[in-house]
Amino acid sequence: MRVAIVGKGGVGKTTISGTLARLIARRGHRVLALDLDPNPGLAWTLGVPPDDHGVAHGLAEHAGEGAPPNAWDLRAGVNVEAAVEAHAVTGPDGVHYLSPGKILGADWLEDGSVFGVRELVRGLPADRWHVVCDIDAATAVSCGQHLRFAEHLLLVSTPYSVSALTVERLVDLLDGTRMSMVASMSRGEADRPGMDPIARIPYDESVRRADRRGVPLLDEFPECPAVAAIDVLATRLLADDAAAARAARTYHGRHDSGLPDGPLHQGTT
Amino acid sequence: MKIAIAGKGGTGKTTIAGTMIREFARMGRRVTAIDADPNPTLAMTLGIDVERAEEAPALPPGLLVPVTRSDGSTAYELGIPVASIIESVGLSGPDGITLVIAGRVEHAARGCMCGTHAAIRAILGAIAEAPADVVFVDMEAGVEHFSRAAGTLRYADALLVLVEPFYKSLVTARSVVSLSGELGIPRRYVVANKVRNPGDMAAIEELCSETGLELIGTVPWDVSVQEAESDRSAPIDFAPSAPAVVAARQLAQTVVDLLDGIAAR
Repeated sequence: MRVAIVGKGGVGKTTISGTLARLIARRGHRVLALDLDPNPGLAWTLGVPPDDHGVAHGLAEHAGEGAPPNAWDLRAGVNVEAAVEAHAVTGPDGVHYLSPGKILGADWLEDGSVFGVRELVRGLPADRWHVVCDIDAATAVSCGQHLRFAEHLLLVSTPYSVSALTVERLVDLLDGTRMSMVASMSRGEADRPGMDPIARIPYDESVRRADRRGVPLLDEFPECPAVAAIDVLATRLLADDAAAARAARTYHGRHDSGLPDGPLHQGTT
Repeated sequence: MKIAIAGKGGTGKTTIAGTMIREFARMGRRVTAIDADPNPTLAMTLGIDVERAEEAPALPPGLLVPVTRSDGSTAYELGIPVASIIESVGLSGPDGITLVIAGRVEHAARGCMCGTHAAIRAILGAIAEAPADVVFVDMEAGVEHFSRAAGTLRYADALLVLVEPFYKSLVTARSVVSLSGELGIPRRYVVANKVRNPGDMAAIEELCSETGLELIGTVPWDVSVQEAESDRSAPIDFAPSAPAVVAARQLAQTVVDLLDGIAAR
């Protein structure tokens, strides 16, 4: 599966992303946790040391003068899986953590690392890797190309209206990619009209306590209700993914790991 | 005076910004509010109708003229006076404030808007020269915009670093302090939000002593803020005397006193 977890800051998407990546890895899968949120955090929720590791510098090059600023490709000879192994940091449960770098203020645009990561993830064999990406709404909105790898967007919203407003905007902007809602910090409120979540992560004091200490929720409170709900989400996503793979084999006689040409894949620049 | 507020996403920047801006206006200041978040939500906390803000025009792309720098790279300069931009895209709000939604981009996901994002930052730098007593910028979340290359905040007289007593927020705040220090912003202050108990305060005070920055406001955790949001109302209209709102209004007064005091010296 290639999922991106998108939402406004503070809705819990980083906690969900990190926990989900590890719970998928615990089921024996190879998982890349991709950090495209300019706020630090995914490393902590995974349990990866909080340095500016897992940075893919120097993998991409710009197409040259006259090309759009986002026209970067992998350098010739870059082996995608070898590069992921070389640049990603391996954390608990074997999750590979990859980021374009940010904590030290790396400039995403000028050194092209964000594009290197973008191209690496697109090139990663879908039948061998699951990708879980944490991306904030502002980044998703500013640069939809970061999400070109994603087959499925999980839009995370709390019951409060600003995060729901963010989700409404994302649905408009990202139309064309499969999307599902995830209700976060849920206290059993009624769903907003038109927002029928595939998972409901309960409000859980454990999340706050883990964040207070800067430790992974999964290690600190493995039995808490939020982890249980994310585990259910992992099961569901894997089942969906397996069903989609079977359907692809049935209809096309092969496993199609290529990306469809949805609106997200037709850059306008 | 030109003031910016920064911090991790979800820390409460927009809630505190909206309340402070309204309070500045009630003190009789002419205020221009700039929402620099590509996912703009300041309208709601200012008390401007959300649907009206959603329909407001985006900044037209033709505002910026590309200029080739000596090293061959491209910079953008404003081709239209700032006052005309504010006149054409500014939304008027309660207490006479004006809101410019600088961060709005249209159809971003269809292609990469990195170039536009850079342009927004250029606009932001220029809009800070707006004819107003107070220009208040609600920054996008995180630290990316503090890089030297972006330099969006070079113009600011004061930066409010908003922090919650949580690990990720504290880490973001440390990055904001470290990167903003390189930009040469004259005054930087810490503001604590969603504080519930003395343990929370200890985490914030540790940040202050570590960075040498002064804590100039503490906003308590307050359910009224969530209730205002559910009501799609500005906190200052919904619960003007709720503890968090009172603290944010006091913070506006503190900032004015500090900056006026500095200007007078």
